[in-house]
Amino acid sequence: MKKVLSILLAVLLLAAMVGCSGPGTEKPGPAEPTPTPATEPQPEEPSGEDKDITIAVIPQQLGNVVFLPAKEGAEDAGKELGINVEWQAPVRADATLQVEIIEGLIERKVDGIAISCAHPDALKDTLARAVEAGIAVSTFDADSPESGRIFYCGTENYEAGVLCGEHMVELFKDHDKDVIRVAQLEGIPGAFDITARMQGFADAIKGTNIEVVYTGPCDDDVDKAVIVVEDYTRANGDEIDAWFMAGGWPYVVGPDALPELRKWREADPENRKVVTMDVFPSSKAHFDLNLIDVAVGQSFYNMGKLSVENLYKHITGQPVDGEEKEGFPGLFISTGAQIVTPENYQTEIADE
Amino acid sequence: MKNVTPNHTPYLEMKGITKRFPGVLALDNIDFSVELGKVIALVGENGAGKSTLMKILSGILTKDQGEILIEGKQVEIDGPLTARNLGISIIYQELMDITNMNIAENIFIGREKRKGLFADKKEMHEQAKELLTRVALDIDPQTKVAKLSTAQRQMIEVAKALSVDAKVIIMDEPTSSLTETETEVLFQIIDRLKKENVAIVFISHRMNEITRISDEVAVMRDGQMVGRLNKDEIDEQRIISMMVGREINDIFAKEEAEISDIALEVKNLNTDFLKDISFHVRKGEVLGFAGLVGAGRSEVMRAVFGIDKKESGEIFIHGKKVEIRNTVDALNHGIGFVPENRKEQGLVLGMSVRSNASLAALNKISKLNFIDKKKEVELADKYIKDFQIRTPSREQLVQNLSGGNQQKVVISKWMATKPDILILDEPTRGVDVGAKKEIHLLMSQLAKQGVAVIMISSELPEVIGMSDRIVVMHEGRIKGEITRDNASQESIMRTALS
Amino acid sequence: MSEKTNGQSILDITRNRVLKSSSFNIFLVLLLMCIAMYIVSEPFRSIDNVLAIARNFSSYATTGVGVSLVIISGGIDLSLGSVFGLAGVISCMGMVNFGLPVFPSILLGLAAGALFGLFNGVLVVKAKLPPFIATLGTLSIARSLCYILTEGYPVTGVDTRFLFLGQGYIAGIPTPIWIMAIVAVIFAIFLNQTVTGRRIYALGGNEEATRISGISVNKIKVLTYTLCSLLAAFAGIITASRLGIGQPTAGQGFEMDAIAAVIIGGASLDGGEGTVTGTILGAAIMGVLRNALVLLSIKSHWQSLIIGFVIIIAVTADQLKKSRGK
Repeated sequence: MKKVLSILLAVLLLAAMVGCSGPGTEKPGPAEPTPTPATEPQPEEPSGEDKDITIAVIPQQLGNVVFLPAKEGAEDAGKELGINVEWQAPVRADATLQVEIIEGLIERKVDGIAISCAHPDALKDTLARAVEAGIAVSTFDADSPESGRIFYCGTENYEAGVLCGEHMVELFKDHDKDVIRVAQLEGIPGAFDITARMQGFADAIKGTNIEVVYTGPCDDDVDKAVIVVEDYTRANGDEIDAWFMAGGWPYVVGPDALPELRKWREADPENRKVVTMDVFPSSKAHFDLNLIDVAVGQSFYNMGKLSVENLYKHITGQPVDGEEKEGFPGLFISTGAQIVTPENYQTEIADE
Repeated sequence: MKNVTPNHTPYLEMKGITKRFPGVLALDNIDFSVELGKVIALVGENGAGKSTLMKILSGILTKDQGEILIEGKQVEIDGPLTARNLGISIIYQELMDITNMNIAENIFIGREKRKGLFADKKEMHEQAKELLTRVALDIDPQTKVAKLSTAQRQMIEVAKALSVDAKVIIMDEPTSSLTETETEVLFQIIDRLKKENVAIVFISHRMNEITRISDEVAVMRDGQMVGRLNKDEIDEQRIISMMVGREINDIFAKEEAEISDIALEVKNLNTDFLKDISFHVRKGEVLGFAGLVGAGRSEVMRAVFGIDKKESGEIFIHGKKVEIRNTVDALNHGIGFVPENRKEQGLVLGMSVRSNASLAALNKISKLNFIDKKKEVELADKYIKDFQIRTPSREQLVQNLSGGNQQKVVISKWMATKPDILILDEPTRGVDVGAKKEIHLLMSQLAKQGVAVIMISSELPEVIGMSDRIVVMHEGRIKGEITRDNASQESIMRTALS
Repeated sequence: MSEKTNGQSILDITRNRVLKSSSFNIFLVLLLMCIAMYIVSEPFRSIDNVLAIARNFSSYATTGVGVSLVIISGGIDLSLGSVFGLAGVISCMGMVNFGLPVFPSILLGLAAGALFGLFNGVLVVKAKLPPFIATLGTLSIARSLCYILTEGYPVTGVDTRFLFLGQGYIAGIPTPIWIMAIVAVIFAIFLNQTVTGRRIYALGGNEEATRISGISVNKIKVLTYTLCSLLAAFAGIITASRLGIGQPTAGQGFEMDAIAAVIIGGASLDGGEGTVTGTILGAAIMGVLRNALVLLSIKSHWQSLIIGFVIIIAVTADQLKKSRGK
């Protein structure tokens, strides 16, 4: 009895581990064609010719909602091209977990890898090894320029931050206050992509009367983001003129979950502004109530789609649609930034 | 009798030692001394302060007042390491060895011989071997301690003490879990240590051992030193009366009770160790279980009480066959079990006297799962009074009580369940003379009330003195039964070893 | 002896009990923190802020009460962060995907939680796994189920009546605070007044002695794990209601917050010690601390460090007090 239970447990544990981190973390085994639990069952065989090609797409974290459109984009591209697209997400946003996944993929000799790097340097060497092993490697969202990847697809986080900053300056340009105070929401302190956005924001407001007075972390956790924004707004709402959300965590939830922020904004919509990164379907409800002034979206759907399409081109020997930039290794594929404002949100945001 | 202090300076002296615990004066101005090459027995009821005194000497507790001198020079003992460096070693009643390590590792733990950065296993092995010879153990030092008997482990502790060149070895009830033969071996080693000019402080409750081995006896009572007897003054009755402050004549308070129907019958019980165990006990009867340590007596009781698995066998209670799969069944069938080791199996040390006393009987004092606190308090107070449990209050944590009083709490716990059958495994081990007598009296009274009492004891005089009938076991089997009239130490040993 | 006890006035006994109880120290720490915050931070003084703090810590307080049971009985439950998330997801899915009304959806989430607790208990009792290992396993399993069920997407579009649980008010006080208070009272009574509660303490104090006292320790263990997961699930559902979505990532690392609250509250990981009051106070300390760090605009990088020190200081102080008591 005990024995049976132990075995059962071992199997369950194994299943749990596999279920959590995907087949990429399995010990190197025979290269197998890849039906995985992460890919949705797809209506197969549209073109059918290149079913042997497998491209793995690696976001920073399984549970991070911003990557979900990228998954859709990548899978749509896969369906159109008739190739296998695998979504290989680490359970936590941690470069070492991504390294483990890539190592597994190298062993399996997949054809292509598109990755959003948790940290550029930490992944540089592993990606270089993948390139050496003959795998077509590209990055999206968060780059690792020195890894030898073919192209980077996305809006640079720094540039996106600059856009946010510029919009913030624009919003306050007619105000005559001496100092415009901004509170800032970040994710895990020190995370590379968010830090780049905040840096872009800081550089854009440099020399103006706008000043960041507070930075609160939410550890990439929606619940904590809500608590931080609500607590700070309640306590110091009168002291600040604007919020800059370096990530869109608070807008994953409905407006009802942010009563303090709403109260603060509605008390004086002319002088209290909100600029946020990221656009989600759930952002629409906030725009409906005029709670956001500018949302800068990176089209994750396009990142996923273009990454897969161009990797496929590279693998099959066609030229990649990227542009060259000075001092930028490899090619750059711009997905552009989506600027959503109260004026255009109805058309920019798709319904849920 | 008090003027036996030798005119030369003793090797080790403690003067005016005082120690206070919250609410208790544990040691009150104690003078004590030890001479090389002599065995001094330290006796007293549990709670008299022997252990506290020895803990101060071995650096585990610090004294509040007083001084300690070695060869006339004052020393400060501020920790076990200091004590060890001064040549003082203590061997505890509860063995402190690490059972998953081997003998050599245990002996040298904390001061491993080194060769550069690495432990010098060969050197330790050699030295351990030599030490083992000195304590008359012929075992490979690589043997895991878990495989040894209690007696052997005790010898290892002695060897450990010798390995640090101990001048003073304190033995806290070393014989409490030893068989008679093993005790004899220990005594031979003590004799040898005396010849090597080591001083032994011997703490024990067993009068025959004390009279046999001691050169001097120091008697404590209620935190005070009440007297010191030298070799020719040592006398059992005298020691006992000094300990309790009164004369105790009849040690075994056996009373006649009416023995009637069979309360519990066990037929053909087998486990992986026990073979074909059958016995019965009647209402009003005290059934003794005798045998050497390891004979399987406790195992029988554990199987009957549903703690250990039975392979086969039947149990009848009041003539009806019952299934006892676990302790809950046992309790529901009116069986009580005072286990061998009260601290590990009998008590929840971090809980109060009240909570421990009511633990097994909570169902009896509750309604809809809610404890009736008033009834619980009454229950606790009743047993504190009836059994004269010495405790500042019913809310005292049992870990702060002395051994005898702890044992009374365990017995209270089972009395509260109003058992028809009460099993007591070594009920008076490590219990002082006064409490021992009270426990015996209690057993007799229970029998009179019609309870069937089963008592395991390794003290033959106790088994003989208390039992109506004695079951003798050896190596997992019942070797025979002896009636009260035919019981003697010889007849029991003969039966066991036949 | 009896004369002495009778001589003591009830006031003395009560005073002693209050001063000696480990919760009193914790209460002092909390009081000091509040006084300090009251002086330095004006926004801290508003009743809204106080209610928000209480609403925020109510989730780990409610869960903490459940973990207290397990910790007092000598076990540990690491899985509750995942169970917290899973229950939220399942309740929301009940409404959104299965079209169930609000109340049955909540029950569905609670049942999923209880089932996981039962599973933990059975693993500990029947497979004889150390609780740390068993619940480490279920931690992973439950989290994985969150992702499997949702594909990683938050579950949105819940029935608005569901939001009352996390966002509503009763008599001017947020619903989650009421729930926490009710849970605390029920379980304080359960631990202190009932046979089962007493047995939980006994089990944590000495398992062998408790078994030999004719008590089914297995049943108690399974019960503590089940109740623990049930309460974690409840807290998870309330949080889902507060945010209006069922997030598959909710409660990551949450087990450590809940366990920290219990430990700050004076429970011992060795078992046999701990109180509901202590746990609530421990959770309150963490809540006030988190709030203070935001109110005082303390740089993000320092926040975890400060929380870490508070845990260490609180537990050290408690240990010192206990060793002095002996």
